[in-house]
Amino acid sequence: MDEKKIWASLKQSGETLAVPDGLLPEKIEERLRAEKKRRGETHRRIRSILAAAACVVLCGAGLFLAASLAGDRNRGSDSSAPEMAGANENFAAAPEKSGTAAAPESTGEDMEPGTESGSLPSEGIAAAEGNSGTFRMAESYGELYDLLEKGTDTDEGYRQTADAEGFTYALTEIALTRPEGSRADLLGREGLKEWFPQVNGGPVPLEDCLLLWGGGPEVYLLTVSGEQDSHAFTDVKLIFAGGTEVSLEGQEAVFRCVSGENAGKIAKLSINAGKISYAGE
Amino acid sequence: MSTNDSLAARARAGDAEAFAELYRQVYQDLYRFALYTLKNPQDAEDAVGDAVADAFASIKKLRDAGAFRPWIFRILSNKCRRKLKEYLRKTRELPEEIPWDGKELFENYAVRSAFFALDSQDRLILSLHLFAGYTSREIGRELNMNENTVRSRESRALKKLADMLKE
Repeated sequence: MDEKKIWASLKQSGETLAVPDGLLPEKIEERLRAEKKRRGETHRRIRSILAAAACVVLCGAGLFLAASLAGDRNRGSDSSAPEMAGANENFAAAPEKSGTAAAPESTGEDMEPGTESGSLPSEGIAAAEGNSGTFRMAESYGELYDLLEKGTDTDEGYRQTADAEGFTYALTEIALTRPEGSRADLLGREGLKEWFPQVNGGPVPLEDCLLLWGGGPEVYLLTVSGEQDSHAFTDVKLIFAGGTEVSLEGQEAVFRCVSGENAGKIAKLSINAGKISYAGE
Repeated sequence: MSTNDSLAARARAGDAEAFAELYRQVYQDLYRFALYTLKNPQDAEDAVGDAVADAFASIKKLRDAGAFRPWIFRILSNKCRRKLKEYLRKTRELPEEIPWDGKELFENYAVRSAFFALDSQDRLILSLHLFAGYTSREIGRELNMNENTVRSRESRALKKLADMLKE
């Protein structure tokens, strides 16, 4: 069958599909009218809330100013200086890191490798760490966030799969971008759900996030699933690289650096018996 | 001023009826594009609905009435790409195909089933060509790919389809 015929068959196969009633132009027009009306009401409500908030802020600022002036008059301005210095010392002495479980406001940088459940330990990768300098385990989600380029427009790219001994290995290129918003919020447990790849019910654990040759904004997800449950991964690696081409070749995922100071270098991860491990350069 | 120019001008002024008239010219292809890319009728319907709402909210940005079609397809294509990424993140199970209802020609069903067996990027590229009428260069610009890469991926995907349909 030549290309023209396939294009024609594809077109024809689509023409027989009925469009759902909810998408008919008449229904859409109704929806848009309702939406427009709702938006108009919301804008009016927001304007009145903003006006009320502005009044509260102005009143608060006025009261604060009045209280400050009264305090200065009563105590003199120098007397407050030691209290402020003490406050700063206390702030500086506060621990930099806190446990993640007890701190809902903690950021991803606080999250230690291996705190997430749902993945198997990666001995092969750990062995590679520090030995070759090829792959390095990520230290924090913040480090990964900083590697990414800004943007909201994302693609899922190249995908390749391989089956062996009852396991399916999938390599997917993900154009992961750094979303807009508060860095601290985005690196918290809830924030990570907004932008970071999720596997087995949580973000890809830090111990499975690898920086190749120092890392870069190109992101590859390598997963292994068994026959029993194709949606629960037995092993996962999320690889951050730059200027790299990747492919599954036999029992290896092969990373070739094609640009930058590491151009020409090759790194390999072995995909065997349901596990992903370091396989050398 | 052409009819479409006048519809676009009215739509820019917030006229839902004029927007719906412009939408009428593309809605079938919009749905087909979303369905062929996402493989899931409910998600396709949601994606089109969201894209239409976004398009109406930002219609003031549309300067050229003739560009309505590529413009709304660009919005929908972004929605679909986000959805595909969501599937990947949530590792959500998707129906592999829409069941054959016995009313349509089996050939059409077979072609669609074969198309759904392609990977998501290939489906997206072919759908942009087929339903949005994008050229390889436009697809490349949209997906940040070289236009030659788009052509070769298209060609490989069509060959895969031909092989599947032969079986």
